[in-house]
Amino acid sequence: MQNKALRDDVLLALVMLIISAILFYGGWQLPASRWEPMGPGGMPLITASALAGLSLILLVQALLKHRLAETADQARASSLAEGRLPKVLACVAVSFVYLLSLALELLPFMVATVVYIIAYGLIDGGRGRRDLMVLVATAVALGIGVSLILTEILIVQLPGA
Amino acid sequence: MEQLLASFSQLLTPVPLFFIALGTILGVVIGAIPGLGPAMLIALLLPLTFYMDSVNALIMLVSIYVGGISGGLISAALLKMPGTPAAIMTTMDAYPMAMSGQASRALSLGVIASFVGGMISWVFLAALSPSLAEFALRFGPYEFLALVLMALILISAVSQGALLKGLIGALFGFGVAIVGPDVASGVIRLNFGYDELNAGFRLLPTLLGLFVVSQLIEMLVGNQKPVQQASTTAMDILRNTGNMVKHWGNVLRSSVIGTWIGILPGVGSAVAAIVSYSVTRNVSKKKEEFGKGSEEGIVAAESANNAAVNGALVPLIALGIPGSVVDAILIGALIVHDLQPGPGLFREQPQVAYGIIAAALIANIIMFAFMITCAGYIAKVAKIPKSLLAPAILVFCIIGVFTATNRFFDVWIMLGFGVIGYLLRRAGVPIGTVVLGFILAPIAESELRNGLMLYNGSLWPMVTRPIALAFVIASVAMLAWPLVSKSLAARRHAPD
Repeated sequence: MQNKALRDDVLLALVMLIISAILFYGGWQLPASRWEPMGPGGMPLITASALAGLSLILLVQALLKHRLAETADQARASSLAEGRLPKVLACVAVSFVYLLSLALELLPFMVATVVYIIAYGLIDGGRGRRDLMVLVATAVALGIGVSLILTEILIVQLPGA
Repeated sequence: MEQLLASFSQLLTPVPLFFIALGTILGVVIGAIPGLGPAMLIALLLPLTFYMDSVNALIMLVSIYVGGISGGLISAALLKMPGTPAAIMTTMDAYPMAMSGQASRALSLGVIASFVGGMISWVFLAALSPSLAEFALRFGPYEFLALVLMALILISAVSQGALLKGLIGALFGFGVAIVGPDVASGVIRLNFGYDELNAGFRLLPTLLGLFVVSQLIEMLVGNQKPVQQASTTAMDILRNTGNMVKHWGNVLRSSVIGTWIGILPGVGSAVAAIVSYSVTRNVSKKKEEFGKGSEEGIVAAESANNAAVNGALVPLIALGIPGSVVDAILIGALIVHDLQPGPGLFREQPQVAYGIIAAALIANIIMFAFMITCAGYIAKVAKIPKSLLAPAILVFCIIGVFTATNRFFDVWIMLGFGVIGYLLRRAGVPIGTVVLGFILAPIAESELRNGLMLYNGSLWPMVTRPIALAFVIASVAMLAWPLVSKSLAARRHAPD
């Protein structure tokens, strides 16, 4: 657990160092101001420098296996629970297909949403008769009910075909 | 006082009262569902408030905040799952008490403690906010800059003990906020040739992504353990209200602690509950009961976390500095409705400022009535399967982001930040600091540049002006404290 936490800290520090390099490069490119002491590039440079400094401290602490770099376990987001990988991948795939169908306007919002919620619920939820009835009712309420309220009453444009 | 009374008379009419009641009830219900919480609900409903009157929108969102913090008690007591981080300490005693057959006693104590904590802190909110706003009119740019830096350091310092990662998160939030047009010159920064980023990362997709979508990812990958549930009824809860009388001293102390911790910028209800719980345990004559069903523990945690809600509204309304992460989202709401958060709000939009104060009191009363009567039913809502909740919430997020700008690009941005937010949380970076950094970065930059212009490029006034110096000293003390306490602890444990 400690090795994993330290590895995560090293990775975090390296990613933040890359981000600070990007910020620094972006800020450096910006022109100085003729009317004020600090121009548009000032804040990116300050942020990049501070972020780089703190990331280096984190990196050094992690490499030296210093305990200050650790966080309490319950503060971290959950890692993948055992046996959930197939369901997670399936849910992510279904969500991605849903988003693509809206982005590329392949399906109307109503249809895409009903199908998505049912598909997600079938992958990750219970399969009993009651569960399926609740799932279908929720999908219909959300997909059809909410989109009708938004498009017909609030006159709001929704994504999708 | 007249303006506050005028606000009350304005809010005690059908339409505003409806929005306060709606917000409070939604807040309680969502607050009771573990993994959701008032921050998520406020962020989700923000786009829908575009179509509402500003005052009604803000009183509804503030009511969600009040209800949401209280709702966490229900799942904490009955399901051993705190609905919000603010209810973590409550779980430690409320659940053992509920499982020993005294669920109604646990809920009764918690609900009344929440109500009294909210009422006591409301007095501070009503009394302090206008005076603090008046005082803050004397703040110059460096005072505000020092206050913003103090808020960021403070929230980093109290974020699960990870000061360094909290500061990294805040600076990452700064970096995200910097992308887009420079306010002073109009120069486009850090868009790297992408025209879609000319306006920068917008508030809504960033907020929803970091807060909501990252949580959905966690819901998806995490373990879904079934929990033994306790149950209760409204009559049982009411019958147990008499237990509260002997805890009046604890309620008073915890409410004051919660209020003042809530006032500290960037802190919030969870820390207030932790501090109050620790103080109460230290002074209690029955220390051994804590963690096993102590009445004092429940009362301390619940009074403090609700008191912190109103406490956190004080710097929000008076200074435009969020008192907690939820307040950071409320600042977003003010901006979205073209309202300038800060000391000028009392002068330029008094109906909004006093409306928020009045709504906080009314919401507290509605919360009390609703929770006493419906706590048992709300616990059932908390058991809605994640397989239904997750896609439904994602759909609402997509609707909210798309309807704001009609650009599907923003939906992808939201998802991107969702993944980033989840990875940051996996790495132990508190998301609250990232959100605060994102919200406060424009204020920090604007005040820094104004200060440099005003003082001919000099930063010295940050330490020569007394108020700014006070904030700077507080910030340095908070930065130094972990090192100092560590070396003191090492000296205590060093062999002689």
